[in-house]
Amino acid sequence: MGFNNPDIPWSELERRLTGRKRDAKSWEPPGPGYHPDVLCADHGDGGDSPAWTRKRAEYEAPPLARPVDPVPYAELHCHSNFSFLDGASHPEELAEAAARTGLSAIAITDHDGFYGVVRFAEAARALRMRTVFGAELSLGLPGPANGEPDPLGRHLLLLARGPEGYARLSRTISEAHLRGGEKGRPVYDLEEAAAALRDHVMLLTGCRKGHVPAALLSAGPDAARAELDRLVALFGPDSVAVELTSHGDPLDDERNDALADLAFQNKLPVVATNNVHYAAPGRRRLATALAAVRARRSLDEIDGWLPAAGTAHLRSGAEMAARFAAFPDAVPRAAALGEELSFDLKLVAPNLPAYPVPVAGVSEMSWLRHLTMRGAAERYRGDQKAYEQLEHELALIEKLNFPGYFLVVHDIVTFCERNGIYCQGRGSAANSAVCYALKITNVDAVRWGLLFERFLSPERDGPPDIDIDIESDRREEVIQHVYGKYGRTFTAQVANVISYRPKSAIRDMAKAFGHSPGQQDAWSKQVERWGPMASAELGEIPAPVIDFANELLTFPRHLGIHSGGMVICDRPVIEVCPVEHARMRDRTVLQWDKDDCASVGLVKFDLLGLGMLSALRYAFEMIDSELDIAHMPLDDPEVYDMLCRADSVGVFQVESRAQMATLPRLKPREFYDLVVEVALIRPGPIQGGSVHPYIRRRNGLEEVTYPHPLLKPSLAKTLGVPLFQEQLMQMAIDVAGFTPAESDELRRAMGSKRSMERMAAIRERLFAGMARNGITGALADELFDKLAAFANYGFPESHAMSFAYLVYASAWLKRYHPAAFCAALLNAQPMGFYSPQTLVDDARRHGVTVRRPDVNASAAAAKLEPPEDGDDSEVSEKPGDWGRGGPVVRLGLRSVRSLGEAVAKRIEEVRREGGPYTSMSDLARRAGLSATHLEALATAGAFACLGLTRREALWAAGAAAQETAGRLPGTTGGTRSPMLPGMDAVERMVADVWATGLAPDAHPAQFARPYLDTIGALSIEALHGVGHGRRVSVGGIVTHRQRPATAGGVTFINLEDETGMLNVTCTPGLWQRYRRVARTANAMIVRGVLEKADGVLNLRADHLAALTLPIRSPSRDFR
Amino acid sequence: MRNPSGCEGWGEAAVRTIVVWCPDWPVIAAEIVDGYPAHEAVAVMHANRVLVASPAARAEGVRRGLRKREAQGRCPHLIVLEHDPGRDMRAFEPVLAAVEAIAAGVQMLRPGACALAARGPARYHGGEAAAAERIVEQIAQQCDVEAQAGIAEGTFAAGLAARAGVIVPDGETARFLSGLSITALGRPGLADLLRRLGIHTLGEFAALPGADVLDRFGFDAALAHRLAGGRDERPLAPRRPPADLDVAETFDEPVDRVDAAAFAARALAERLHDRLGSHGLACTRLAIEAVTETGEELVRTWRHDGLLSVNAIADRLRWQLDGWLRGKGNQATGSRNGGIARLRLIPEGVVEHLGLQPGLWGEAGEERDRAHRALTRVQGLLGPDAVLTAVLDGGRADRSRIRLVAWGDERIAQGVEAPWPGRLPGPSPATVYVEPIPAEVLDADGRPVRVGGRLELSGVPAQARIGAQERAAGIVGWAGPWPVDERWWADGESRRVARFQLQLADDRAVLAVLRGGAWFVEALYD
Repeated sequence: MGFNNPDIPWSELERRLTGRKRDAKSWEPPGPGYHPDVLCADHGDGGDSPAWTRKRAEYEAPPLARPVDPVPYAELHCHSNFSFLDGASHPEELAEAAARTGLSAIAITDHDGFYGVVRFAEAARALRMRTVFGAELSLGLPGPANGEPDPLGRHLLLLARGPEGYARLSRTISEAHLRGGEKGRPVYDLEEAAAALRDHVMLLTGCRKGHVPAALLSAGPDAARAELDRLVALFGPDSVAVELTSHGDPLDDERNDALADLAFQNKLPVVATNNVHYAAPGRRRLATALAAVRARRSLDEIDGWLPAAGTAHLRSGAEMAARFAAFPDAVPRAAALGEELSFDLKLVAPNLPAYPVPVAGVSEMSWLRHLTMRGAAERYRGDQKAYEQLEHELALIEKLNFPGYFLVVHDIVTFCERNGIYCQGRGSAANSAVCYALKITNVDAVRWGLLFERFLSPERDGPPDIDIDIESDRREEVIQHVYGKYGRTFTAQVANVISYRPKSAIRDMAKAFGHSPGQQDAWSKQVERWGPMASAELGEIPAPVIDFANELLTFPRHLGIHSGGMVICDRPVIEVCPVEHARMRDRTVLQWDKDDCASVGLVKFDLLGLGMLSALRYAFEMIDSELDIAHMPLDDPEVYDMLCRADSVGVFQVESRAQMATLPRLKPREFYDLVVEVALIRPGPIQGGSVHPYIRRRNGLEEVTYPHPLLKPSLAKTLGVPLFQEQLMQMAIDVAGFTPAESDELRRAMGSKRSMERMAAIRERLFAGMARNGITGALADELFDKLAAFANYGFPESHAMSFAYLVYASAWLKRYHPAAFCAALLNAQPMGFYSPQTLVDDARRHGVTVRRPDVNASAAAAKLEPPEDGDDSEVSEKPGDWGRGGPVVRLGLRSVRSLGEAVAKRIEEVRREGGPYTSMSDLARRAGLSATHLEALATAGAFACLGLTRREALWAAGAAAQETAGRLPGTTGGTRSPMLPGMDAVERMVADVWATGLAPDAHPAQFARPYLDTIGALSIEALHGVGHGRRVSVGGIVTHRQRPATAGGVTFINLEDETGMLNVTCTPGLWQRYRRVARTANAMIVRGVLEKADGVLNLRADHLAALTLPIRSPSRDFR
Repeated sequence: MRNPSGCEGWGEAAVRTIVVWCPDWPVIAAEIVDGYPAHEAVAVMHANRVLVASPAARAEGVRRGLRKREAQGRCPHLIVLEHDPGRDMRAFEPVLAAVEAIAAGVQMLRPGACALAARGPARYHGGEAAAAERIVEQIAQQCDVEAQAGIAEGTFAAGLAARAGVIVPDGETARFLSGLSITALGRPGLADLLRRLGIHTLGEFAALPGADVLDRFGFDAALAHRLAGGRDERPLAPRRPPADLDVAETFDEPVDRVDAAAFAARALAERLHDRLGSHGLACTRLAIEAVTETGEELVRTWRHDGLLSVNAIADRLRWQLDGWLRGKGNQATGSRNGGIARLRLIPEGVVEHLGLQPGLWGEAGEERDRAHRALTRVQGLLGPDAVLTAVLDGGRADRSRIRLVAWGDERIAQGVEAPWPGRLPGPSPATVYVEPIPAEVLDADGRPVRVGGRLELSGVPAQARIGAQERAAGIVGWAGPWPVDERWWADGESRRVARFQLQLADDRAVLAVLRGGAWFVEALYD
């Protein structure tokens, strides 16, 4: 799925969506009165939406001038920037430079891997450039090479002979990585590798660290000859070439002469290479800076190891011929080898393995049909329309030969169901009735009229994309199930290539330029996430650091594990892509990211962790019930009332600041409104106080119109405003008579980085179809414009729908089981938009009592306790009373500082086995706690059950900790405390926050209330009684700072006091003026103009001041 | 607030003490000794944590105890210095001297703070307040250093009084202490625990029964408990010599002439050498401490990379005394404070004698020793900078690799562990010009030879004219271009050249470089 920001400004998109004519002003930059509409602003770059995944755009070859009749030459030794922190050009740049200089072929030979081969091959294919695949193996590495100025060991340059050589080389690299046992340290056995690779690779003698040149340099020609003989014996005389390189080093000629002599004596060919590390000389400085980063030193410190000058760039055949005039064979030989060794990476395309159908003799397709019909009997019960749809889908699945894919996903979902793990398919899979019947998704695609072709259509290459959300706390079990079922050899996790972003680029370049770690911290912090890198704000950062950081952006830095992508393969996956260790223990990961895997044809399954699913399971367990998404009623007016008030802290997807600002305007009253709400908050602050056209129409501020009557069926459910990708497809079907499959092609053609040819063809078809319906001229142009604007920007309706179910389920829990909801959210942390403190504050505002941890009452995790006795007072339906008289939340022991999961569990288990703890020393002895543990528990008030105040317990902790298992009880003194002062409310809160990170019964701001009153600052609740446009002051703690990429530099601050939360907007000018406070204050007093619209409050700040509170609570900034 | 006077044992009143405290001393000392601007953001670090921050640094949020990284994160332009107690002490010597000039019995607490009994000065200056004022004034006048004085019973309380800049009235010490934060104990772990117990002030702490405190928190806390109650038992001890390896000499007649000092130095140096030798040790760092007639103390540390022979020790001692006795301006001790009354040599850095063989001539034994002695003698006569030896550092250009160091100083070549890719291989040119000679290198048609960004030549070098030479010499052989583009990141140090070796028809061979479009000859092979 690709949900990318559109390239056009939101204002323009909005104009096109609403069909207004462009007014010149909308293109002007925002003036001084500019103020984005906070009600619609959200992060343009991900944030809390787990649906926000990016897909690499397809490579498109730029127009290049190619030389006529170039001297034939192939570069056979070439590092891309996937030789991490060594190469300084993207694979695409190298392919382009090769085409521009007229090379006949180009190899990619990164260190110990095929990291960049897919991108390289894609670009080269588009450029019609021949490709050779190889790798430079690092032999004899004593440890991970990062951090060394000049890593020890030898290099071995191997080029694959065809797909078989590629597979063997891949396997050899994988085995070395796995043998090394840690990330970045492959361990090869030269003899073993040679045995596996002989006749399938071509060996070049390599750079100065190759066996032969190194021996020549350190021990002379005889030693070099011995090394060469050994390599020839290992790899065969037809598979070794002597490599000559000329970098303008004073030693080059002498070395090349000696090597050429050796080659001549041994009857081996000589080959010219340029040991390329970047496409053009201009990248040399960046390459040296990268070398410094790799060695974890400054440029000054690495100076003595840097190449003398920038000569390791791609050269044309003519240049090489001139440089190697003394060795006339070397260049033509390279060209010939390049031709001989080149092949297209498409040749390695793997398949899914045969699915182990449990009944002998039954085909995969028959088995899938059987499972589908079995599920349909339960979920569709004789719905004729549904059966027709199922037949349609199954026929297509059969035609495209994807039954195995569905069976794999079905098996995963079944595993989850059997083991009580909550999961749900997300994304476009919800367009499929088969997926619904198989219980992969919970959205009835037939009932909601979803367009199957958005999910699967005959024109698409590759299998469909089914992402499964799995409760995050148990995702690991599912991953292990997949490993177990298909075998470790055939299964692997997809990598996530970690690329340089502004922060990391600034940090690493500051380090390279010799600035101290503190300065690196300070400067990288100044670059707010995804912010522009050249603004005046960066004034303090030295210019070279910024310049080089900018150059470094998007360079790959290292590999991480993709959150949940797994591939399953019909052959050992290490023969397709090398596998290496991840930083995490016992994890191995492919060298390719998800886009690479898809491009080559590795079938990927996304098993994503979703905290909310864990929270839902915990909550439903606490209320002794089971969540049945497919059958839950969706029409409780109380739930919608709550959401209309933006009372949504903790509710899935609609809890964020921006969603809260939208809910009162959207006023959801039915399930489909939630689907819209999920989809609506996509990029976009809007200029000039305008709001999303859907909201305008929904509130009757704008007429519901349709550009053409034919569009009414597709757009009616969203009031004439297209919101979903499926609508775009439906529009094409309705106005131009497209088939569903064609409409999907249209969507993809428009959405991808517009391939002009594809676009032109489909545009013609669209206009022809529209003409048949009488749509021509300006109207046709306008419709096309609209479709194009929307193509890649809309949200898949199916995905919004899957998420809307979780919105409803979590909202329902919040309304009817606020205590369970709170406890479950606490146990599922970290997740969501708010801190545990905010969640607890919110629960308290809904009448839930939250109790402190207690050694005899608490479990490791938070849990529910029976209602408090004696609270029989009348409970109203007011939100503040929802939790009253209901169960009480008891905080878990693991929330206590220094205890951690293991100790907390031990306390719980020992108590379950041996009964309640009778004294502190009893606890210390039985559960084996240290003085620190006891002191933390005492500070948290966890000994209240023993009749001890916190301070008595804290005093006694010292002695109690002495009572270990080996001592006689009662033999240590100091258990009785002297008179200690009592605690007031502030001290209690400070102790709570110190010990557990949250105060269950107080809010820091309430202690500042008397002061806030004296200066005339209002509580957030009181703002509801203040008129729009009034200037007010408000004090509270800062829970979030956000600067959405799309908000024109405006920063949003979320302010919270004991009565509620408030959104504050800060213009760039104000932010600059009150920079210190704005950036660092944990609590502040904000003065500003109150804005009110549809019950949504916003404070436009004009003054910020720090507020001192008894405790400091960290805010979540610029995440 | 509780009344601490109810505590047991109160009454064995501690002696009235003046503490003189100079705020942010390590920062101030760095300014005095090394010229770092104390009014800017400066932090002195110890073990990677901020020990002291200047007021300007504090204004930027730099606090004691912060990690270096956090401190620089808050204040990127922070000047970061390593803590050097020696520096603190050296800078503090004049302050001590200034105080001693008007009061007796001054005792060091630590650099930046000293204590003295209040009774004497108070009587002499007509009251404690007047005495305190006088001392602060004296320090300001003599040393241009800002100090605060405080008076209370006992050093602990007086120290806190000095920080507050108050004179605690007689008998009020316990009350004074009782209102202070528990953090004043300087025991963060204990203070954290006590605060969680609701004990926020020294008074509240002092009010706890002593036996209970001992029981719960142990011996050190019990000690702190006594201090919190105003019962200070630290005796006002005289300063002690720091180590037992040092040797000292007191002169009946103060030394105030350099030749006399040299004579005395020789004897002292021999004693130190013997003493170290008997322990099987050698000295690498030597502190020389002198006490003048007026009691001023002077300290200087000398480094050396080999074993300090008797001669070497004596020489250094002599040079040092020379500096002190005949220094310039107000550093001239001799004129102001009289001669040196006492000398002490403290071997600050010692190593095992064995294995320390500085292969100066590459061989050991008698010849080496003879050469060594000769050079040392010359140096002894002419001064330390008169005898230099060359060190060959790492690097790409021959010209920048040679560094001269004074004989006897550390001869550690820099950058030699790196391979310096692109460096010219041997044989090295015999003559390296200090100033490269401008030249012209021309092709056969007489056009200057140029080198492009991709290393292509505009023509084949055919003739060269070097310096003011009239006629160009023919080139019979050449090698290159060998490009160097180094230190591009360092302002003013970047060097981008293409190097050539040229064999001229007149039998000379030169190293020529093309730099910024102009040719130079850097070295001559012969």
